[in-house]
Amino acid sequence: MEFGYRGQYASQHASQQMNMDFYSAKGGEHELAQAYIPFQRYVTSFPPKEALRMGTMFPELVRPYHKSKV
Amino acid sequence: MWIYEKKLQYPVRIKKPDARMAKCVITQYGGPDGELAASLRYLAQRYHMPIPEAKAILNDIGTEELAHFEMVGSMVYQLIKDATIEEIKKEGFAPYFADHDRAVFPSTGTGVPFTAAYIQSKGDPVADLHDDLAAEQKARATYERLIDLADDPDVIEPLKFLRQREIVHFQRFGEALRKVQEYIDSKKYY
Amino acid sequence: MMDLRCKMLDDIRAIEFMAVELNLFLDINPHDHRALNEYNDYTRQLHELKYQFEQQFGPLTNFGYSYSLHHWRWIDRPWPWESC
Repeated sequence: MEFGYRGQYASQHASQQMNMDFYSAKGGEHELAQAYIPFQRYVTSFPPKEALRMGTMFPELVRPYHKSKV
Repeated sequence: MWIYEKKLQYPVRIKKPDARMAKCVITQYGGPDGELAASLRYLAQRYHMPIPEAKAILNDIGTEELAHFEMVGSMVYQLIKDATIEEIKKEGFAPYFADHDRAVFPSTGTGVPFTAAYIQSKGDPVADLHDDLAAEQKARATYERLIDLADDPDVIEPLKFLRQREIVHFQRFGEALRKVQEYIDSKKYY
Repeated sequence: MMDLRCKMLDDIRAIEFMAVELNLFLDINPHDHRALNEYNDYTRQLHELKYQFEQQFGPLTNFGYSYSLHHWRWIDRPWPWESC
């Protein structure tokens, strides 16, 4: 049985994988020797001028830097 | 192909010349972790990606990095265009000035010219995307060092913008990697 | 006049930035209809803002992407590294 890939590259566990993105419930969800960045969900956004000022429209991607004094 | 829009993605309005800062910022123009390296890396890798999402994200982030390359070039230009010869000499910028006057040239702050040796296009999509994740982290770290070195808010503001963009790019490349991994796994079932 | 030009360009920057951010998100999530609708909304606003800007200050793009009325204003100052 061939698994097509039009937007659904994952195996039949795709939707489960999406929901268990942030941790590995059974040991087998995430494989060893592989990197996993969680998928971002679009929740809210800054308005345009603030987005430009912040460097992103997505509040959850903001990582402020505090200038080092030493 | 590329179309040029006659504006900067984020404004660069530096009023005070600063040859010392020019010598630091220039590494993000022509250095190993700079915007030109990032752009050429992604635009080279995009051809060989196996899925449309990966081709698109490399194409589009590669294009956005060209806009950032232009921003950094503008920063260097504005930092040195009104610097006096005395300031240039005092801040160790004289060797660059000898070769380039107050022009913008892709090199590091220590005068190493840009080279394609800074980039890789491995052909293995998993390797390439990890390379891209690393590139974004290195760029993010370099912007943090530049922010540490800068005093002028006109310089710090665009640097902060550029730094935050690297974080967003990292997230997108991470997602592209997930999709590529899933695609590769899906091809194992038959 | 320069202040008006800068202000209009800042408005364009902000809307275009939303289009870029949504574009990158859509590259990974091509079936996200909320993002798609917002992208198209911002694109519409952007076209309007650019039209207004170009009427007053000349073309923002070349190679056939913008008109240049009266004379070839494309080469006119300021270029982006010279001013806002």
